[in-house]
Amino acid sequence: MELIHFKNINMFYQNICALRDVNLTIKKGDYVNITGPNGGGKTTLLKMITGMVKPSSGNISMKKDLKIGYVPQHTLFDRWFPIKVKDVAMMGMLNKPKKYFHQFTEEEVKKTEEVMDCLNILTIQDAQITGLSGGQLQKVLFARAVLTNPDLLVLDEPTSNLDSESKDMMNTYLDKISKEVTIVKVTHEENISGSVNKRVYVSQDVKVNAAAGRK
Amino acid sequence: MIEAFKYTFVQNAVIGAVLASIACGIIGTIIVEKKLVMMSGGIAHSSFGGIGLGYYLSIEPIIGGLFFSIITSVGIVQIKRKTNVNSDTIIGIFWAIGMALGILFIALTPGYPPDMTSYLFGDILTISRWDVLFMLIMDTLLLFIISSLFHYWRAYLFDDEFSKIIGIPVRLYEYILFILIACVIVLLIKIVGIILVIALLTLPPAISKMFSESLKKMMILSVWLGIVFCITGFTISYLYDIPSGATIILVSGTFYFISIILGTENAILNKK
Repeated sequence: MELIHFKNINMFYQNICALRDVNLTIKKGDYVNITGPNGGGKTTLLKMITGMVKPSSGNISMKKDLKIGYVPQHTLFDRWFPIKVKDVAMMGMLNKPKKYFHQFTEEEVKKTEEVMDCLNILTIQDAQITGLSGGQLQKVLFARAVLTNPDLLVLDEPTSNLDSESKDMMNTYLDKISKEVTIVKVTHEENISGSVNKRVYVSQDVKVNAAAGRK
Repeated sequence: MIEAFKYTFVQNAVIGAVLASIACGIIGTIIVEKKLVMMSGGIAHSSFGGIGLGYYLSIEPIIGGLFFSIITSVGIVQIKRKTNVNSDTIIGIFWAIGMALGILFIALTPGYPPDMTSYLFGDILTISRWDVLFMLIMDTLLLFIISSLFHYWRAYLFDDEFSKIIGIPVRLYEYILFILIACVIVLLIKIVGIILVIALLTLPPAISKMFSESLKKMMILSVWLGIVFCITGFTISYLYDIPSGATIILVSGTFYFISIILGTENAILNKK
């Protein structure tokens, strides 16, 4: 089943070409690794998948009511915002139909703790985000994305701030959930997980033609 | 001072101060966390144009001020969205044009020019029963809007990019927020005036941020601080017959500097 289809996508920032003639299909069950040089348009491509950026030309078709979880490369939010780690992670579960005077259920709290435990951040659940290291924050944002219970998980260099042990742990976790969740990941890692079934190289000088599918 | 409570204008001043502090604590926290202080200054100053228009058309000046504030807040968002102009520049433009229009309308108003001091610097003793009613309605509305969707507001304030992806209608929240800011600013004009309004919106949250580990606690503490500052400032101004708006701000400023000295080492946000 096709989740997203990019047809002849071009993207210009003023006169600078960020993406040229991209044709890409992402199907359910895909695990797509996107690589390419710095400034090659990888993040732009991801932002188009999440709907944050509209292309200059071309057409994007997307499955209706597609639930997307997203881990950004750079955090745009204020690190001094008064909020606990657990509350950040639980934001992922706000993608359900809106409820007035919403309270998280016991089941949702338990699910959050399970995911945080898997990522080894349960011990810092009551800490302020202000005091977190780059790697810890990356894991929290990853937990938040996973807790959206996504059909499609979009990750922009999710392991860039992690030590090798944490990298292995996150890649193992991704392998585990890749059986149920479609994954699109930008990475510079050379050791690519065995679960990856599609590789896309993105550069503004290169046309992208990729129909992702199972190996 | 206790004797003074028999006067209706003193009762209105105290009730008004409490009600304004509730709105101020909630919206002020959002302004500080969303970094909208300059934006709020622009909205406040542009309302002067509406107040001038009110005098010129012989309608309630605050209604004109409210109209201009809302137009400014929505205008800034729209222009920012449709152009590449820096928001500081747009805010500055609305800020200056609003003030210029106010001066122009007052000059064009027939008869003796009205005294604008209470609008520019505030006078808590001019709060009427109607103002109190307006504040009460505004507080009720504000409390309902923020508390009923608190988790969604917090997500929007913390990370609007992620909020948009998970389907929170960020643009709608933004418009609602800016209209609320405009309404609260107009509500505060009677107390501290256009020029000082930013201080009352930012000082209580700036202090409470040092001692709060959550947005909710920051809002609640800001409300209490606002009440303490307004009542203390009003009492001092009443006893010594000095301008109330300026006194309230100076009391708040003094507390802020004391908090910096006492609170920095103990500030919750400095602890992991």
